[in-house]
Amino acid sequence: MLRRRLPLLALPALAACQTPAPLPHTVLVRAELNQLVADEQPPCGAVREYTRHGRLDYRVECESGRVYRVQVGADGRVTVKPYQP
Amino acid sequence: MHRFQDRGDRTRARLRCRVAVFALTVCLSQLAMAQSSMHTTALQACPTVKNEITDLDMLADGLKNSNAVGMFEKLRLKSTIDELIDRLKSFHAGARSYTLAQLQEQYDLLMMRIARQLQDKDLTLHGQLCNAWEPLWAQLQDRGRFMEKFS
Repeated sequence: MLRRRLPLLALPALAACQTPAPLPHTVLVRAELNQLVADEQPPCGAVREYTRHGRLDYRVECESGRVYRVQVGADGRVTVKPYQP
Repeated sequence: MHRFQDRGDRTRARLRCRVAVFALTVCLSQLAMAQSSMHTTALQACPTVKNEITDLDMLADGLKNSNAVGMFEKLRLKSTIDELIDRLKSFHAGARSYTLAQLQEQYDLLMMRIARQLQDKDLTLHGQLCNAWEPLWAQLQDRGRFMEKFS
């Protein structure tokens, strides 16, 4: 009886051993943007939404309701400023 | 008479199709030009540096020896770099969990995070990072060069 059920019992164990599915790209981007705006004052909280305007240029909406522009300048400096459309 | 009308319709349809293809080609080329100009606007005024960073190991060593980054942040950055390399390994091995453009965005954001840490505290390493930004990505996205380095 147990022998018959053994494969069935092994299935959940195998599933648990599998490598986790890769995180969605947007989750990874949001996590990095979170790091970039983490030190801003007033605080941003978590990143709610983001829009990419160029390769190194983002509009970031915070949970606090504030909106920042995160971009890289020609000299490689990263600036985080309140967004002005 | 019907045949002539059919031919006329076909010719007009072909012409419309050609115009549409031409318009699409023009749009795509303009998009490509716009994207390449995005590439050229940033990182065009990196400071001149003596020793250039030529691979990720050199960058990791630079970070390790820099006082600009705290110990815990160094560990976090190391882990993020390793995760990105794993994703690139999977990509070059044929997995398609992320596109190359997405991997480039992930790379850019990691570099932005490192640059932000360095830009006010370690100008030399920041300058090296700025200069290495594009060449490092060129190395990572090239399957042959990547496999040579990381396999």
